[in-house]
Amino acid sequence: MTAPILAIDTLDLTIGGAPILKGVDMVVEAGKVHALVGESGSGKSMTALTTMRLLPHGAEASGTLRFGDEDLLAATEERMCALRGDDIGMVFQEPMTALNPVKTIGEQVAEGIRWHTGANRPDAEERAAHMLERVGLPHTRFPLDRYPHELSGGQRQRVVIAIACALRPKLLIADEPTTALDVVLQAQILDLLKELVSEDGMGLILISHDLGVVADMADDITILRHGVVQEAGHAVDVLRHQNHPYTQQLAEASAHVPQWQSRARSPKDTALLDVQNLVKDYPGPRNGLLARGDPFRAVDDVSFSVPPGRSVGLVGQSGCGKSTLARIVLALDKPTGGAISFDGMQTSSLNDHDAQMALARREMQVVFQDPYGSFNPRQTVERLVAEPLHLEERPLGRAERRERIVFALEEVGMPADAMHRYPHEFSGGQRQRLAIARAIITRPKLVVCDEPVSALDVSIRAQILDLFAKLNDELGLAYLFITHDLTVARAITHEVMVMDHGKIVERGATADVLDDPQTEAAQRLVAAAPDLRRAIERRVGNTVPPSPRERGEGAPS
Amino acid sequence: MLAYTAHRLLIVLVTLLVASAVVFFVLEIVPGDPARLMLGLNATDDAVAALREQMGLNQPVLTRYFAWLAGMARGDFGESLTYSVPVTELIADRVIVSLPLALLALGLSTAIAIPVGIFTAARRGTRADTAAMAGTQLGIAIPNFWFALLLVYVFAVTLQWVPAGGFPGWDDGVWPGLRALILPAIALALPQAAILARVARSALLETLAEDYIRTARAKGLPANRVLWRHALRNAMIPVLTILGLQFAFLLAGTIIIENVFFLPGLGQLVFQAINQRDLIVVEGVVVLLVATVVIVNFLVDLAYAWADPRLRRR
Repeated sequence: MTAPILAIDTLDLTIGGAPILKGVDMVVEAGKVHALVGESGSGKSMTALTTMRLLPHGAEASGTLRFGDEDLLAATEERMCALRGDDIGMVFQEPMTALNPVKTIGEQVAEGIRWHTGANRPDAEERAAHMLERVGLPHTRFPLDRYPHELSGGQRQRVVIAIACALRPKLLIADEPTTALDVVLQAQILDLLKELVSEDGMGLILISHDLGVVADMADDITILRHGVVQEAGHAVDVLRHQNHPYTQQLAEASAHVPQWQSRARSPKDTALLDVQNLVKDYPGPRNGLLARGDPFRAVDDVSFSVPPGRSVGLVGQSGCGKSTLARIVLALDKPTGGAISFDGMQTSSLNDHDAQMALARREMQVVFQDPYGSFNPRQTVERLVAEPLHLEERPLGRAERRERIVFALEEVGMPADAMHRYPHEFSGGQRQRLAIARAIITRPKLVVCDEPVSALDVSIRAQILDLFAKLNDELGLAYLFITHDLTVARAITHEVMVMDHGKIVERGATADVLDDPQTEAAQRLVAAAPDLRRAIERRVGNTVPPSPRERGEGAPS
Repeated sequence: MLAYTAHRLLIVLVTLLVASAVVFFVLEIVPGDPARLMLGLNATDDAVAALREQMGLNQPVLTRYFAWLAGMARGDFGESLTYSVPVTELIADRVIVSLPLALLALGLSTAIAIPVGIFTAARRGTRADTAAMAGTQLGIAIPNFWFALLLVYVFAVTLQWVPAGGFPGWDDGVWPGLRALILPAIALALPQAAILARVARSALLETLAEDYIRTARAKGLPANRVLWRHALRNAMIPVLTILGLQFAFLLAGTIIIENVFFLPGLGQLVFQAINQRDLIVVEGVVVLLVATVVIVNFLVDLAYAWADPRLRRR
């Protein structure tokens, strides 16, 4: 048993008087991954920020945070500055915004090195280059003078990890480090973190809401809810036995499959949406005064059809062209070539002011990932949900309009009196229900869903998936369901299409494709997807090298 | 970066060409015959016709436009209708007052505003912040001519540190000229500084809430260093935009302050020229101001690219 690096003892935290954490205990050991799990608002991130002493204004913490032989809560700000970045590193959730856009990656990695060691610029840059090499960004391909905007999300997260690990901290805190990345990149980043932990022997606090990731990565686990520790212990044991009801609830939600009658129903022969040889080019980057680089082909000769009442999944890595394809289907963007027919109308050749376009828009609605961003915060729910009604051929009377709104709200499980309230009064899951109500108010035949549950917690996600299944059963809605999460695709789609570099490379019944992927792109997605059950099986079966505790508990079965 | 600069420069040239055409043809439409205006109401038709011939007013309009353009390219803006001196000379006499005044006011405004912006952003919500922000409200609200009169009363009349008005020229060295410009520059700078400080503060506060600021703090950098090293440059874009707009205003929009201090600046020249229908002078000054605004915007664009590498590719 190694000595603990960080021992949190009865940590209480209030922000502006509101209690956030209540008596949290947690011990992080060297060379071990300690998962901190919980829904949003459970206090996971606040535990991390308390450890970094980077809490927002008005926060008050009490208890002890023993790090080595000092109490972090009692340390001066000056002392914390010496610890942060040197002995404690932190990696954040959103790699796209975690780096300063006006400084090169070399500067940003070298900065912490120079600050803590007093090294001169060339020495610090040499160390930075070495660190970037370790995180998989060799300077031959990623010179130090690159700016963050020249890198992809996964590459930027590597830079953030390089910053956090440059001085070989004793403790690394990773706050949802892969939530914003697609499954393939997620697997790569998690492997990198594992590697750094085992090479440098640091302790890692891995904050996550994804039990599949946790089951794969963690040695120890602490499960938080409303700022209170629910269960703690050895990760594989906790997740395998699921003794605590809340652990059980989380595990069930993360593998939730809705009760869904139409799953077994065979598809009709007609096509509601028919896409033929669709191509979309974007102009290349400007190279000179008049010259442009080669155009970028975001969608490359894509053909598919969606029968009425059918749910078709579109999966692929970020940047594969999924969302571009969705925009074109919704007639928000013009294709470079090819044709789209929807419900008998050639939507790809219609203009915005055509009467048929209003009809097409009415029968084809959309639900986005972030419901808050797509709502005007100053409008009541009534106006927001009723928004698509202007597409109706004739203006609706007051009573009829109200009736439609109440119907849409009831369909999504919201009370009718919600219509007089404003979006900020609702939780993320409720807002997504409102977005769905808005989508179904015109009684559409097709709803395009662009990652509609990926911003939601597992338990809320399960409820929203149930809602999608119910609406499909009751209203016969067809879905084009875009997601990078294969668990979601498995739960809510009849068929799935795998997209890679603008092309659809594989298509078939969802279970067939996901259980037995044929193409390399589909295999890559399936292999990278975290899965609670498989991860536990693998770790229980895998006894090399067993930790002393594992030898007692998880012997080969 | 080179492509970016060349692209911007091309836009500058096109803008200047279009603007000059607009100025020329608009003044062409304005009623009134310059020749008759110069000779007065009692002139005979023959004399007017002769002068029109001499001024080249009988030539086709395009010919005259290109001749005018070619003249400006050589620095020849034509001759004033009322003073019968080259417009270039008239403008030059005023620019040596207005340009130093504008630069002085802009420098002062920046020197006050940026530190105030940084100070208040770093101490948001404190009493010092509230007091400074109340001060900027006052700076915006006070009419600058009233403030100018107050300055004259205190520093020129009572303390007698500087002259109350007039401009001695630069012939006796820099100091006498500069002394005459100090009070007007302060009067001009005050409201500009108040606006700029507020812009700088809010831009900084917005930047300080960004994720990369947290990343920098997690590296172990103290809050102050993060503000200087990471936040400041990112907050520069709105500040640069306002600076560019302020310079254009300070160069010619200062007629009230010029009058308070009896300064022979560009504002007065335009005012007189418009009153006397001296269209040649108006034309020259307008073209000069347009050119200044376009060039300042070009410099601001270059400064954007310096501040933000993401803009260099376009």
